[in-house]
Order: sequence, then structure tokens, then C-alpha cells
Amino acid sequence: MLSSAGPAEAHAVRTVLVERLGIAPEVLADLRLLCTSNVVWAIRKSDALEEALDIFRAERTGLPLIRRVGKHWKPTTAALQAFGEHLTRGIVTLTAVELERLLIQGSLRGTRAELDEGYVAIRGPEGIIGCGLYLNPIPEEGKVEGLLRSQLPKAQWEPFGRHLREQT
Amino acid sequence: MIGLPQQIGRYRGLVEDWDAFVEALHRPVPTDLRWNSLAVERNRFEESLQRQGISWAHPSGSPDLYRVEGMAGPGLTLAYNLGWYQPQGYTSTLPPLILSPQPGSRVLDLCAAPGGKTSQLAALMGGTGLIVANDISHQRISILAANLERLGVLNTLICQYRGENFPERFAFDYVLVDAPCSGQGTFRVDGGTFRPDAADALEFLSALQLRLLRKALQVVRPGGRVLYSTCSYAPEEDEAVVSAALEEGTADVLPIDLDLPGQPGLTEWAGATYLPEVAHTLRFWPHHTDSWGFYCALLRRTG
Repeated sequence: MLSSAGPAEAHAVRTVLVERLGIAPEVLADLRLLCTSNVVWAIRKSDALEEALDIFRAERTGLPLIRRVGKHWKPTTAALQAFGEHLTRGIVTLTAVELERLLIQGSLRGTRAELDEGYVAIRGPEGIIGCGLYLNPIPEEGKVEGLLRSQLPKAQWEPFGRHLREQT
Repeated sequence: MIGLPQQIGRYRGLVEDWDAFVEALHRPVPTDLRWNSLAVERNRFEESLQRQGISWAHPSGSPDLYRVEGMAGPGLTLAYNLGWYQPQGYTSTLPPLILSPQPGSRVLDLCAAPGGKTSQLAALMGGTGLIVANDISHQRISILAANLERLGVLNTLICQYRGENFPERFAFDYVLVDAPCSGQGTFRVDGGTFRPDAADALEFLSALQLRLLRKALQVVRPGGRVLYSTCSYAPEEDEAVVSAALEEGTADVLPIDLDLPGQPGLTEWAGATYLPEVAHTLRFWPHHTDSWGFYCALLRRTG
């Protein structure tokens, strides 16, 4: 069941979406943050919403913003798509060919000096695609290139990846 | 009548142009995509179709619906995964279009999963106001949530109540009751999701449907609107339910003022008679729409 997000969850949203991905705080200002055990959810603020939250036992909203993975919070692909035009950093831009390779293979090698290790937004020719995890090169372990791992929701995206694989 | 179950064959005397109806049941249902204005501008969506060599037409009265030719699978595109469209049959888009909620309003989708109509309501409201999307089934709520997530719906709360027990302390402006039904309208000779066993449970279904419609009329504010729909041809699930609800004296039927290929609701069937105003409701037959069979009634709470 949903409950109001506390200071810790609000801080996590700021850390992930504002500090790492560069979304202006005012973009998020009209969102009411709610949470379940490992997810912070967003919904547009309204008087009707406050009244509804007092009456209904709500399970979730339409849009999960960030999800807890171990000790870290990960931005959801849905949030990155919804606020894509407001992202200003933490973005990996891929060509159409690179994006297809990522969708087929699930990961992509290549050093991205402009990025800090961690969760990133993947951008393709059509705009923001969703969430990825970028890992730095570790030359001393023979890993001379960074690695971008897809964090796109598997259940949704896998049929499309399989379709691309069958076409190549 | 080879290939038609008895539950469909019984409409022989009812359907205008029976041969065309049967012929429609032998055709696969076309692929319809509803453009999601919450995620992308119309011209970018259309350009993405053009780049894939996909042509389209708009079925009558549904300008946001694209009946496409040449698409391998509606879930197998980047645009689908970006939430730019929802695969949704033409007649399935009609209940939200007829209900037509205003931006900023309070809307209840009482039987919301899998969420195509919920997300369409959100788009019609420009992502404003509040939608409460309810469904009885935990499993179906997961599908509803996944669709709303993919489509970027930001004005919706998801609840899991048994519809008949939905809390009554909140007054909605609009309620959609896309009721659980026998699914007769989804029958096709080679496919569809129609379950003949469900059609044998008409008595159970029509009682459930009436309870849901009653609940909708209890939680909508006086003057507010309720759209009742099914994907069934059975008068027991359609006109009979609406007529019984009207007899309770808290609602009237509003004419559906859209240019749609529907036929007036029945006022009698198999010895039963329904209130005359039920003729303002609409039945949608597959040979008129090239889509699923559907039924829609627009009601206004009076008391």
C-alpha cells in the first residue's frame, strides 16, 4: 500500500533525478511523491488527490520514479522517458546502430570519459530510451573499455530485442 | 452456421445482414493503434509509422486511432516501448470517447485492467485531474500498472477493491464501468478471446454487472456521468442491465452524440422488454466496425 514519501525518499529523488541527471527541481515540484517498500512513485498534485489518499487504499500510481536496488536507488525507464526533455546530464547518446546492438546484446562496450560510473539515461535518435548502468574501464583487470548495461524493463523490452536479433 | 457457437448463432434474427456478420467473424481483426498524446506529438508518431513503411486510416469518429497496414507485430517496435501508442481495438476506444471526461475532472475506472481505456482517459484529460483505476485482480493490476508505466500516465492512482465494495465517500465526475462479461464480441472463427463457458454464465454475469453499475451510480456525483460498456452481444449483459439500473430511479440515459457506426439498443428480446430510453444506447457489430462487438450506454445520475 502507498504511503507518503519521507525525507529519505525525497532526498533519494533529488540525488538521482536532480543531481545526477540534471532535472531542474521545479520540473518535479508539481509531483506528489508516494512510496512502497522499494519504490518511490509520482503522481500530479491536486486537491482531489489529497482527498482520495485519505479515503482509498491505493496500491501504486501510474509512474514509478526510482527503485531501490541494494543500497542504491535506480531511476526507472518510465521516469526517464516521462521527463526526458528535462535531462541535462548523465546521458549516453547512441547511434541507431549502437542502440540496436544494446537492445540485442543487453550491453555495449565503449569508454565514456564524460560519465561517472552509475545509472545513466540512454538516448537514441528518437530521444530518451530509458535507464542504463555505466561501468568504468578497469585497465589493471584488462577491462580497457567501459561497459554500458541495459536496465530497460526486461519483460517489456525483451520481445523487441528478440525480434531485432531474428532480423539480423 | 458452421463454426459458430450456439451463443453467437442465437442472434440470427437480431443482426441486420446476417451473412455480412458471419463473414466479419471469419476475418481477423485489423491492427489498431491509439496514438498516446501523453508521450509524443502526433507528427513524430506518424513519421515513425511512415519510416517503417506503415500506412493507416482513421476509423469513424476516432481521430487518435490508426488502423495500420504492414506492421509485423504491434509490440515489436521501438515506438511501442517508448509508449508512443497503445494497441487497442477501435470499439474498445469508444467508451472513453463517449464518456469524454473534461481536463481536471475526477474519474473512476471501476474495472480498469489491462489499462488501455484508463490511459486513453488520461490522454483525453491531458494528463490533468485524477483517475482512480481499480481492478479486483492482483495479477491484472500488474498488467494495468505495466501499461500505465509504459505510457507515462501521471494522474492515476491504482486500487484493488472488489468493484461492488468500492468506497463511497469520494464523489466522481465520471465513472467508466467496462464490465467483466462473456466476451462474445471477441469471438472470431479463427481466434479471439471469447470463452464459451463464460457465455454459459449469463445469469451470474448480469447480476454482477448490475451490482457494478449500481455502485458506479452511487459514487458519481449528481449530474455526473457513467459509461457502461461490455464486449458482449448478449442483451442479458447489456440492455437488461441498463434497464434494471434505470428502474431504480437514480439515473437517465443520455443520447450518444457522436458520429459512430452503432445501432440503437434493443427494447425487447426473447420475451423480455426493456425501458424505451434504452434505445439511446449503442450496439456495435463487427460487420459495421471491422472490430470487436461492443455495447455502450451513457448514463447521468439524477438523484
